[in-house]
Amino acid sequence: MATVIEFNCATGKQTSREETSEEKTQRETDAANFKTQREADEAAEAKRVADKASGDAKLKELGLTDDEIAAR
Amino acid sequence: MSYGVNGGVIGPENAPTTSAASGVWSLGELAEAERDSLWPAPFTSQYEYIAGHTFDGSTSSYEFTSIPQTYNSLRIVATELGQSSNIASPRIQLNGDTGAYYGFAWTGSHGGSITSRFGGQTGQTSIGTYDTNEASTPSAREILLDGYTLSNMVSPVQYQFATCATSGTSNMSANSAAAVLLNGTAAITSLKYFDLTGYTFASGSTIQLFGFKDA
Repeated sequence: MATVIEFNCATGKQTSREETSEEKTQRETDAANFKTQREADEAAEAKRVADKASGDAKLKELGLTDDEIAAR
Repeated sequence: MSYGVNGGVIGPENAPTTSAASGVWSLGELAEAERDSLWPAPFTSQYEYIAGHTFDGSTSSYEFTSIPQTYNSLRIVATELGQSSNIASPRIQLNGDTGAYYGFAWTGSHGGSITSRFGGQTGQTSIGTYDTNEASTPSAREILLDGYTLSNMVSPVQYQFATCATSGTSNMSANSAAAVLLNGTAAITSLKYFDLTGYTFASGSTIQLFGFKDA
């Protein structure tokens, strides 16, 4: 179990305890959701990069220079 | 004359406090009070340290409660050391909100790509997502809560974040900025710091809370 710490600014007292089973479950759920979101972000970024490369190649076939493509 | 008070050369004897020292004082009396930390300090506009913590690797969340309402704004400075198996995504949760009031939007640069996201009202605020996963590489973030005591307006939350890994595929830098959307106007009295990825904060990571007062 991880530790949860609370600092009361009014009293200057710091207390620590083990996380509850509910907090642990929530933490694991958050972690799973984050992993899913991150994988989706990475897939979207990979697609964007691939689409850009594909688009640039097609523009070049049409006769645009690298500078003209970059200036778009 | 009693120890710790002025001589009463003009007017009555007075005991000094950290906020007032009325009357006429000799240099010796003043030195005694200074030695005992009883002389009023010069008041300037500056951040005052409220509290802070250095993590030992076992903590999943750290919460400041009963935050004093005597400052104009709060500043939170957090450094997080990367862990080789963990890409961090630290968050803050204000007033224990679970979704009704606080949400976030952010934009950032990650490995040269610009990303932005509206996080919606999730009850938590991202303060530097996609941190490095390089072991021991630090990231730093500064969070500003201006007008956090006000109850007649919504208060923005701003943050700045930076990190830079040094090797391998994670060789990158990231800078982000965010704002919180508030659907309520309660003064901010508590702030919880945790990592959405579920990991504990690496040993040596820190968080500090400061308050700003006008002169």
